[in-house]
Amino acid sequence: MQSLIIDMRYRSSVMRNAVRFGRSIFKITTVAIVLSGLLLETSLAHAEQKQAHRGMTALSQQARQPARYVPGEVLVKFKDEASRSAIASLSADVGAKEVRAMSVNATVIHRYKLDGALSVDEAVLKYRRDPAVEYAEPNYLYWLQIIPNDTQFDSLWGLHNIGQTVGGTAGKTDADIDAPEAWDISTGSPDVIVAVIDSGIAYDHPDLAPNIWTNPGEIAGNGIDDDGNGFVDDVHGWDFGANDSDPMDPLDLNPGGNPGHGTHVAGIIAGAGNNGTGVTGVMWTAKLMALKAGGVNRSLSATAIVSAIHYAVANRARVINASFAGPDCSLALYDAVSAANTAGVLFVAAAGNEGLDNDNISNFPANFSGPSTCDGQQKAALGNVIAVAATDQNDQLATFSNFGATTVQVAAPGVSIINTKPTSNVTNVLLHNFDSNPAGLGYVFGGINSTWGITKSASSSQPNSLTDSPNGNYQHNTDSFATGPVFTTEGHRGCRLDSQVRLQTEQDIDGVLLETSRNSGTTWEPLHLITGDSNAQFVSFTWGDIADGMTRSQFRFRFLSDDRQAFDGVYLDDIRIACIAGSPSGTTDYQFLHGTSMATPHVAGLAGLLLSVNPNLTVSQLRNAILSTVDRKPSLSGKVSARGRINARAALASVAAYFTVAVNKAGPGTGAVTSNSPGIDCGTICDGKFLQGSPVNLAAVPDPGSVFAGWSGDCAGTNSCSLTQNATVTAIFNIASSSPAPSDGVGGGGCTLAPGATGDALLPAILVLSLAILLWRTNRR
Amino acid sequence: MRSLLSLPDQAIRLGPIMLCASVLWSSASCESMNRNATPTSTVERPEKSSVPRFIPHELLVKFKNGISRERIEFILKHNRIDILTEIQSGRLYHVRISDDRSVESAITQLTSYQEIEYAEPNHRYEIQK
Repeated sequence: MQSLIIDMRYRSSVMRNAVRFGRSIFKITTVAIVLSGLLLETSLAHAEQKQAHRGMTALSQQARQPARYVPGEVLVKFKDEASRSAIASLSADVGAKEVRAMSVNATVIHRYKLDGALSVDEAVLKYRRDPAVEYAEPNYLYWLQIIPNDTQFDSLWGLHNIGQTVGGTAGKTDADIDAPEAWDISTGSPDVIVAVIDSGIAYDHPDLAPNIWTNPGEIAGNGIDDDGNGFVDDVHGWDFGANDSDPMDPLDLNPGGNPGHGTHVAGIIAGAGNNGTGVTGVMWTAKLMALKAGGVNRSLSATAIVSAIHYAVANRARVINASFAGPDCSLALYDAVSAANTAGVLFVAAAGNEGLDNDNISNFPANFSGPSTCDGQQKAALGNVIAVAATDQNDQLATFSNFGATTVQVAAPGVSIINTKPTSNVTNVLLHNFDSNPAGLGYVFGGINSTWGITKSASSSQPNSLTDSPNGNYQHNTDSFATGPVFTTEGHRGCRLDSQVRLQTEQDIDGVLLETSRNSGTTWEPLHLITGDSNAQFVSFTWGDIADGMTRSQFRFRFLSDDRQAFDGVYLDDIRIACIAGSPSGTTDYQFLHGTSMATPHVAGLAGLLLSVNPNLTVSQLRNAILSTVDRKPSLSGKVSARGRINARAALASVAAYFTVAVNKAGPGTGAVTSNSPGIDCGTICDGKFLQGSPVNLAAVPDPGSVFAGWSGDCAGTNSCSLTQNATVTAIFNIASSSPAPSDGVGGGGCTLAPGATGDALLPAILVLSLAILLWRTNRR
Repeated sequence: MRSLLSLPDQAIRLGPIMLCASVLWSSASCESMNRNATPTSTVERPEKSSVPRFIPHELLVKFKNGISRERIEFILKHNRIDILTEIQSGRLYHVRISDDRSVESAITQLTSYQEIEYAEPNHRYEIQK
């Protein structure tokens, strides 16, 4: 394991060099070979181990591409003293034709194409036996898997920093989370649910749609709570702010509006990877649960957050991303995060963007990672919370990032982060400019001291606007209404109400409250109140979310004043219910954002990767894997308790466990044994190393004239042999004529590995592996 | 603190916090008002935005384990508090004060009941973009 890790670090510099040279597969492979050639002792063993575990993880989504190296090609480096004629004669011997020779750092590598007489394995062995050869290897398809083909991958410095300039700033090589190196172990899993409590998610964004969670128990749009979880039609999550079934993230271009925050966060966690489009998340594959908790004015309420946490836990999310913060400690929020802890759900929280020390000034929920005082009560640290600070392209703490030597645990990239953005296309369900036939719009005025009406004295779109007081200042002691017509948001999503507003009221005393109803005015809910002075200007203002999918929606503007001062009042124009229209347009819908909000999902995504490798990890194991494997940085010492920035590769390597399988063949007959996950093709490769957690099935195929008589060792019977831990098995092949098949394959008895077999199998497995390595070394010398 | 005119019983009275709701027009005054209105917050901290730190007229109320539904409803009704959402069955409620009492005074009233574990404002948290 130790040498593996060393090798991986090594590889990461290889990667960068390779990428700098260009994206050509050949170049990359060649460079890898050159450098791995320096690790003469064990380079092939490593390569094969890497191949083996890659076969089970990164490749698991591409099981139909089992090739581990370019068919029929080998790469050879000859010793310096090797003569040209010796090289030529050896190549003729092997049946290899030179494709090209490549020089990297004064080292020449020869790439050969075989004529087919020898297999790649055989050719490699033959080259190695020759004293003129320093090393020979298959042309591994190793690097192909790692750099995804997403078109904007070059801008994702947080995942892979090769010093590229992003957002006008040049980065520093390796100031990243080593994502490509981590993807060698796992690119994620569709079984890992990560909940995003935020402003919603544009779940139809092409770069997110493949990774959006779908509630398996709910039938979309039938108006029935099919799974009985208390939420009707909660297909992708829920909107806990507006309390509707649509967690769409509405992009709001008005000042102070939601930038599509949750969509960006979601993409950092699990933007669809290697799909030839846009970006990739830390996880290429995952299930993102969209839990909208507000966000239209950039804030989320405790009630919505608490409800969302309960939902996430109840619906089997394993990780919750909390890219929000506030100075107030909510006991209900503490209890909810604590319940998540009990349920084994990791909670990753933003440290905050004030540039302050959270050790001195608490910020929640991040500070639940340590002991906190909540409404006078002492609350114990919660072991599932990771508070995250933000780093920049040079591994420095971002200037805006909060920190805390004890209360903030770790840092992750959070400056100039590009990711998914909701569409800015909207459709107007309602638009009132009060210009033509304003009386026909159906507004009703009423209440106490109402002077509401239409005026020409001030308007944003000429000539008219709606105002509380067309004739000068407003009245004292007003509680008056301008109630709009009933409208529907059925079939729409991401709806909000905005307008042009010109305002002059007694600051903090008099103002305009927008109320909404979803039952044609039977009951009203306050949505937003404004007060003060807009300096005689109309400004664009988003009042708030309007519940989606409601047929009897209504709004009213309520003017409130006391008996003291009176001013010009309010003018409203271009009142609009805007909902999202159509699908995002794809490649253009990305944007750069900064914040600990962006750092947090890097950590949540890493947690998801860890769970993809081992779904049985506890929250404390997850937390430990993330915090104990950071790249320590002087700039983060005293700023975060782990003293570093996350390293996904190191974290995954710390939890990736392997088991070994050794296959023997016995009996007078012949045949082959293969594994479903690439690794064993016995034949030539009779030992394999496999990632813990997914069973490996061995299949025995007799040659013509032979029959498979059954397994012995850690498997029995004649069916396929399924293994989940260290094992040694023997496949017995008999001669067909003398020993007919014991059955026709029905009821032959499956192979299960008996409990306790690990110890029995371990020693032989180690022996076999040691022998194999010894043989390789001997062959080489 | 000056108060607004009386409103009808069913109406929402505008508390001082609510009047800070505008991001556009009332940033400076909101900070001081929020601090006054939030007794648990004793440390000065810069505010980047004036979004109110809790939602006016709303509370989170948690009952101790084993309190009957009837008792819960009685206590809330008796204190003129409407249930908006039952977040956790029999335990945690998102409620609205149905008259013009401040959040603080409603919390004081509720926490005098031994059946209530805690009552707190519906705090706001900001996205950290």
